[in-house]
Amino acid sequence: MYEPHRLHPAAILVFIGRNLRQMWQVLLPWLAIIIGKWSSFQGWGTFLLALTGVIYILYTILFWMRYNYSIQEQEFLLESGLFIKKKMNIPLERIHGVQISQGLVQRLFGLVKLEVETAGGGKKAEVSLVALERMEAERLRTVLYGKSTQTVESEVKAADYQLTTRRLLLAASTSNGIGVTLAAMLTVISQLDEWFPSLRIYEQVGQKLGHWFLSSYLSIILGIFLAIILAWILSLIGSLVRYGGFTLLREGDRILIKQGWVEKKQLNLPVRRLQAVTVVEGVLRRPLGLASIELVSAGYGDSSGTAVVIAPLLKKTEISGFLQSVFPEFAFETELEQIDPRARVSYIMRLLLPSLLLAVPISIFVPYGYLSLLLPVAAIILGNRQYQDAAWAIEGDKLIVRSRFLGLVTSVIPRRRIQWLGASQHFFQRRKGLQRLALTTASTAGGASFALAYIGSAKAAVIKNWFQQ
Amino acid sequence: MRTGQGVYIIEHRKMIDKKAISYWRWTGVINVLFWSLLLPASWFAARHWSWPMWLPAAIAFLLILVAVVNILLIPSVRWRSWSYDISSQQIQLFQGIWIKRHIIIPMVRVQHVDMQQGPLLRRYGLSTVIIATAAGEHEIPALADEVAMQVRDHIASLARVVDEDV
Repeated sequence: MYEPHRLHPAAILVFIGRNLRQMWQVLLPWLAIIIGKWSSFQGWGTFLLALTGVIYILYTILFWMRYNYSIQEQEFLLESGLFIKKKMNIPLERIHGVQISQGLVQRLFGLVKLEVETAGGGKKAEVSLVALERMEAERLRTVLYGKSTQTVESEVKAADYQLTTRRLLLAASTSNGIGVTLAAMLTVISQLDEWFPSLRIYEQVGQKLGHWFLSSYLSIILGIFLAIILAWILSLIGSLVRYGGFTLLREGDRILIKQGWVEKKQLNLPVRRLQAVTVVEGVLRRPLGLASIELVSAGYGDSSGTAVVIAPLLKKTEISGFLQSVFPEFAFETELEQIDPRARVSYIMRLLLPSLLLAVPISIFVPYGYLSLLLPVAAIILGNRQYQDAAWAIEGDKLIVRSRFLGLVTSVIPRRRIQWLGASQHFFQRRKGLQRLALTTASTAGGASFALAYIGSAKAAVIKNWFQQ
Repeated sequence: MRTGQGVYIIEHRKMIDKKAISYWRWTGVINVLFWSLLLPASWFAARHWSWPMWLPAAIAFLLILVAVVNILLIPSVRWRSWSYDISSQQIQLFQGIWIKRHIIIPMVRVQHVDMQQGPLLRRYGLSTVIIATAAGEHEIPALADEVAMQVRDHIASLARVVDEDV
């Protein structure tokens, strides 16, 4: 029995912040319009804005007052909502984990956030109590989870894996985030005009910089170079914030991960819910002999399918030792076997054909377009590498699958985790005796597939037989 | 058992109901009728907003092509390409015209089985059996109602009632 409790009042701030974050794309253009035409709004505009603000804050306070949690008859009960009242019940035995973390606001007030994990990812109930006193959170965790506070105990035992500062810097500077950041930067730049129509950014920049900047190719290259450097710095900061103070601890059936500088995150997940372990050798890391290790789990991590990182940076030589000592269930020694010599052409063609479709028209119709013919060349080289790196092995109850898109990815999948196997064979593959094998495990995002493209049919049959045992 | 070169390892596979052909023909007809709404629309646009006149002609041509392929040719080929095999250990699905697919679902991984029937399927007395695993669903389309029921009950009895912890 646990009487109904409210969250700490700081939750009001968190609620407001969360709403603003969800709405900012809607709000920003309006704000831009109002600021842009401030002279015509001034008097009643200020009044209206203030009124909206006050009503909104009052609403949130009432929302907070209604929002309460309790435990009744072996069920966790969460009540919320002012106009539409919501009740969420979670039977205690369905709770698979409790995660305590600390975001910016929580740190400011010395509070924590408590999240309740239930089985089955995505659609199912996910409870997040955004502002609790630490004592209260620990007490609630004990009641919900029926176990003593593991975090405190675990600090006694040394971590199984700890990211040193040197490693952290290395991890941050070689992360793949740079591509993502570049894309994000481009999106922001392309949206600027929409957000601030009154500023007419493009026109102004174009007029002022256009003449000297776009006139020489050197400065274009310089610009691109600067953008890449900027993206690299941003992604570096991103990974520093994300993986700062990373430690991993394995205790029996549980893994405990702590990470984050600004937002301290704690992840506590059972090993028996792991579906697969994946060693990722990114494009920037592989030449340096570095890799990271991720895991696929069902019911943990984001529902967006972002994998849980269990080792942000390891030397390649340390991987098998790390798996042996911390995740012996996923350790492997067997040499991997290539898929089939006949597959080389297929791998190359798969990239070459679309790149030719792109490059040939460009080189005909666009000035200096012949430069795009480098694309098919790159396609051949990458295709050949993808062929060379595609490999597999069976070791007892584990299947090891390696493939390359850009970075090299090696996955270890226990047989009992494979939900279904799909083999598909294209008309042309049929003539060559090749096929595509895909093994799918459960995951928070609904399913994770591991594929071997263009594997020889005889080898595919070996894997199928192993799977059907 | 023949260990073929291809995707298929054949045991005693069962076909789906032959009425599936008529069913797919009718869904094809409905589809074509729906898309043929583009025809008067593009005609109108060509008359009043000076869109190119060849547009309605091209659409008409495409519609006829799609109709011939989707209504006359594909359904029977598709029917022949579909089969399934249920043993006590696993469910196997075979499917595909251009790309042949072979799916193996171990019986212990089946979380639940369902039957589904749209209005058009009901007219033909057909049902679709849906097999759910922790990583997505698979279906056997267009089985005669009583066969679908048998298949569903058969799988349900073979699959473990208690889900294995994922």
